[in-house]
Amino acid sequence: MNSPRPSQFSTLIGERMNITTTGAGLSRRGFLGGLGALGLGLGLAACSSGGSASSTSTDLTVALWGDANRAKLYQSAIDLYVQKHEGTTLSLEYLDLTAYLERLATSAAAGSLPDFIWMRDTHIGRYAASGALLDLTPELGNGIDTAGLGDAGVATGKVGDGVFALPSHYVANCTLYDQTVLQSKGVDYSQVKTWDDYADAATELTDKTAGFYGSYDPTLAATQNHFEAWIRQYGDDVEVYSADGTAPGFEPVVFEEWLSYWDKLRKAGVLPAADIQIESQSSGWTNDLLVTSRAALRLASANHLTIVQGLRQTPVGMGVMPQKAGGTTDTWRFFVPILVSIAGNTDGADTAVSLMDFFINDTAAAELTRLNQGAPSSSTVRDALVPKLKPQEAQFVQLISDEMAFPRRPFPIRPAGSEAFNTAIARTGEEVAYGRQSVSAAVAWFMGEAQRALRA
Amino acid sequence: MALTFARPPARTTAAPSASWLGGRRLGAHVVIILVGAVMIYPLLWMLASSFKPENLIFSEPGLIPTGFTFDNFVHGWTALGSPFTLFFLNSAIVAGLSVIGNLFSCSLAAYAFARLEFRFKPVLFALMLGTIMLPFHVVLVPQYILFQNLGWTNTFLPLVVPKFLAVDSFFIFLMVQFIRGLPRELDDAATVDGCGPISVFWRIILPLMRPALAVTAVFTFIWTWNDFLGPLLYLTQRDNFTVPIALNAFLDSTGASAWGPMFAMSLLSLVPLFVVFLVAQKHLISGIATTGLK
Repeated sequence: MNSPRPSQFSTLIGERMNITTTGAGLSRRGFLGGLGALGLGLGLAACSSGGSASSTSTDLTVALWGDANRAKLYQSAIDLYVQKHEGTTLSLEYLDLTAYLERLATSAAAGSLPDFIWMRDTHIGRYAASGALLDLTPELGNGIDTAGLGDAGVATGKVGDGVFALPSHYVANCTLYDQTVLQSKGVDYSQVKTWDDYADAATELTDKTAGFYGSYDPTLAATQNHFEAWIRQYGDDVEVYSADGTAPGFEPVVFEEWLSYWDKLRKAGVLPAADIQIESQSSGWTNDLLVTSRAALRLASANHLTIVQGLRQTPVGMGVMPQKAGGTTDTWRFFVPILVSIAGNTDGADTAVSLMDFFINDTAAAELTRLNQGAPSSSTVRDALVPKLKPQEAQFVQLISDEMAFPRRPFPIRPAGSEAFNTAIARTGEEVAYGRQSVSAAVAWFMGEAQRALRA
Repeated sequence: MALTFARPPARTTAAPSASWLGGRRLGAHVVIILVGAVMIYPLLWMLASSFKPENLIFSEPGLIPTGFTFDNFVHGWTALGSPFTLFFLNSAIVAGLSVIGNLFSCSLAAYAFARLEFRFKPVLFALMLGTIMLPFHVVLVPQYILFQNLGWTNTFLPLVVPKFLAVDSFFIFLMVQFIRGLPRELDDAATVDGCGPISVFWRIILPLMRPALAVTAVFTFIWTWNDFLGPLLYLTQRDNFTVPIALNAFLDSTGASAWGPMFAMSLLSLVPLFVVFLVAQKHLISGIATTGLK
C-alpha cells in the first residue's frame, strides 16, 4: 500500500547533481573531475534517500513544535502508546515554532522528514504539493477511524486529490475579555453579537486618561485568522483564496472595510497606537495588553484562554467572535486545525498510521495531552474529556463542539504562496496602523502583491 | 631651523589649552561611558530579569527589582528534563573540538598557501576566498544531505569534523596574512639547518604565529558556543542539545514562554564566553594588531 514517495525536493536536487556530473565528464581538469565525483556522490545519495521500501519499521521519529512543557505531555502520551505496542521505539523531537519550521524545511529538502509530523495549516499545502507527505486516503476509515472528525475534519487535510493530513486538535477564534473591567462598566459581553456591538463595547470600555484601551488591534497580530474569519462572513461564496488558489477569493472592499473598521477605533483612541501594540506583543503572552491590564477586549484563539488566565490574577471571560450584520448564514467561527502528517518516504508507515489513530481517537492520550494544543478534533474524545476539565477549559471545548453543530465549510487549504500572502496582509495592516498609507492605497498595493504571491 | 621654528609655537599653544584638552578628554569619556551604558543596558536588563519573579519581568521594566528570587535559576536548571549541566557539557565538547580543529587545520592550510609552491595555488586560493562570500544558507541543504547520508545526523560530527578540514576560510586568510608578515629568512635559515617544510612549520612558523592562533581560538570558541542554526539542524534529540538550542526550548511562541528561567540560563551561558574573553583579551588585542585585521 504505502509505496515510498521520494520527496520532489530531493529528486530535484538529485537531478541537479547529475547535471553537474555530466558537465564534469566532458572536462578533463582534475579539480573539476573532483567536483563532479562529489556531485555524483551527492546525486546518488539524494536519490537513494527516498529509496527504501519497507513500511513495517517500528522505530519512528515524532516531531512537534512547542516548548519543554508541551514535550513532557506528549512524551507521556508516546510512552502510553509504546506501552500498548511493545517493540515500538518512538523518539520525540521538539522545537519552538520558527526553528521547527526551519528544520522541517531543510529535512524536507533532504528527503528525510521525521516519520510523524505535527503540521501547520499554513504549510500543509506546500508540503503536500511537493510530494513530501503520505497520502492518507487508503487509511481513512481503515487504519484511522475518522467517525469523530466528520467530513469537514477530513477535508482540512485535503490537497488536490489526496488527504495528506488530519486534524488532531482545533483552535477557534473567540474574544477574551477582562471580566472585572466589563462588570465595573456594566458591559455584558454576551450581548455583543455584531462588529458594531463590539465597537460600541470597546469604546465604552476605553479610559483615555488612564491609558486603558477598549480593545487590542488585530490588524497588527502575528496571525491572520481573525481577518480570514471576517472575509468568510461576507457570504457563503466569499473565501480567502479563489477555488484554484491563484488569487484572493474576496473583493478589495472586504479588506478595506476591515482596515477602516479598526483604523476608526484607533483614531478614536480605543485601540493602542501601533508602536504600543507592537511592543506589547514582542515578548509573547507575558506582556500582552489584556494580560497586563492595559486593554479590555482581545480577539484570540480559544485555547489561549487558559494561558491568559494563568498569567492573570483576576478572571478572564471568553465570548464568541463578532459577526457581520447581514452576512453569511454560516455562523461557523472558523476553526484553525492543528494537523498531523506522515512523511511520504517513511519506512514505518504502518506504525505511523496507527500512531495517528492513537493521537486522534485515544481518550487516554487526550487526557494526558489535555488542551495543550487546542480542543481534540474528534467529537467522541471531546465528549469524554469535558467532564474531567476545569470549568474554563470545558467552556472552550464546549465552544468548539457547539460551533461544530452549525453548517460549515471546511478550512481552506492554503495554496503554495499563502505565506507570502499572509506577510502581505500583515504589511498592509502595519502601513495603515502607522499612518504611512491610506486604507485604499494600502489595499490596492496588497491586491497586486497577493496576486503575485499566489501565482508564483 | 624649520624644526626649531616650528616647535615653540606648538608649545606655547599647548600650554594654555591643557585644561581645554582635559575638558575635551573628559567629554570624550562621558560620551564613551554613555554609549557603553546604552550598549550594556540589555545585558543588565537580562541580569535584573533573571532575578525577578516571572510576573514582574515585563510589568516592571526597570533595572531594580522590587521582588528578588533565585527560583528562575533553580527551576531553569532542571526544567527541560535533563539538567543544564548536560547542555553545557555538549556545548563545551562542540566548541572545544572546533577550536582544536580550526587551530590544527587552518594553520596547516595557511602555511601551505603562504609558504609552499604547488600547482593551481592562485586558483585554489581564490576558490578558498570565494567560500568566505558564500552564504551559509546556500550550502545548507547539500551539506545536510551529505551528513544525512553519512548517518551523522543527531551526532556532533557534522558540527566538528568539518573544522578539522580547514573549512573556515576566514581564519585561513587571517593566518596567511600573518605568516606573510614573518621574515622568510627564518625559513631559509631553518632549511639550511636541515629542516623540511613540516619542520619549518612546526619549529619556526607555528611558535611565531601565536597571536593569530589566539584570535582563531577565541573567535572559533565564541562563534561555535553561540551557533544556533548548525546545532538546530543536526542535533534533534534533547540529550544532544547545545546551550542555544536548550534555551530555545523555554520558548513557546504559540503559548506562554518561560522567560524567567530562559533569562537565568542565558545569563549562565554567558559565563564561559566572558571567562574565555577575559583570559584571552591580551592575546586577542595583539593578534588583531598583527594579523592584518587592523
